[in-house]
Amino acid sequence: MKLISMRPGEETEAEITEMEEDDYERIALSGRFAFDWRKEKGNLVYKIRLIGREEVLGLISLIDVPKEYRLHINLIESSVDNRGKNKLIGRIPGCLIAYTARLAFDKGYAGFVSLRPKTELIDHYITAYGFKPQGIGLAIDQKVSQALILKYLSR
Amino acid sequence: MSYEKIYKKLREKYTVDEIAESMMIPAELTEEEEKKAEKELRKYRFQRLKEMTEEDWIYSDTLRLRFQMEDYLKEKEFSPEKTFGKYLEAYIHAIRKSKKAFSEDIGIHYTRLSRILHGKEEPNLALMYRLEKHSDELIPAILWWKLTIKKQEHQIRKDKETRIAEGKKVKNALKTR
Repeated sequence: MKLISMRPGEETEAEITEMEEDDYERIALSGRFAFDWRKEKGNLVYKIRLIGREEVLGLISLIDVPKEYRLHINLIESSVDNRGKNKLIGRIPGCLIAYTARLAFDKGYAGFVSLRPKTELIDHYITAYGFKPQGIGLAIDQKVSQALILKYLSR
Repeated sequence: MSYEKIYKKLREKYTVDEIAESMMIPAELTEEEEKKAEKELRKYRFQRLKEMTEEDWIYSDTLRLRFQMEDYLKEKEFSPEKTFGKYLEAYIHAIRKSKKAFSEDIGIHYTRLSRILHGKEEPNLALMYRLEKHSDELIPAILWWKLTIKKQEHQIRKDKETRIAEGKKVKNALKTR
């Protein structure tokens, strides 16, 4: 998948892999993430990095709900360098959400992904990724999930 | 620190939009709210499952198969359980067709399809284009082709017997060592 460098015209190749045991401590000590990712250990946690580089650019924590055929996004975070006006790299959360959608097809859940963001953040997930409101949560599946996969993972 | 406290701290430095663009922070709910939210989501999920047609499942299972193929092709090792024939069998299963009906769909004789499924005959490019068309391009021809290449690569690495036998048929070979 491609991430966008904020220098005009530059793209850079990235990969998403499952977190390893050692990663949690390294990330906590790095000071580059605001949340304590050690608390997410019981979930499925994935990291995004540039290919061949160790530095973690972003993280996602997922809860598998097999009885309901869905993956629930519990938390996403881009590293400190990749937030705000001066971020170095874009598309990090998009790639992580699209990867979740792909996993949700892989698991036979028809691409169903849910999340329950803070109220202030909800609109962004609706407009940027096509999530639909369901109660106080948001969800996508099938064609919307496939579109995200195409947009973020196939480039 | 709770998600809420971290959010408040982040807000000192970033706008709401900047936070939304770079992270997804969960709403912090009371136990009761959490139960209610879960119940609503479960209800919606089961409703979506109920609404899914056979076509929807075929679409979903075909995409799933495509992703499994992509993942396998990224692996270094060849697996005899993941050949062209095995994936083709999985595709026929995903689209809920009999082998007979499928062979008619793609215009090849049932016997030939059977030989390909069992790895007794190698598929050609024409078949791969037909498979691409049949899946409405959900599984591109290139993925089918890469499966055959992966098998051939494995054969070239491992098949000492044929290499020796074929080598014996060669005359006037270059001598560079």
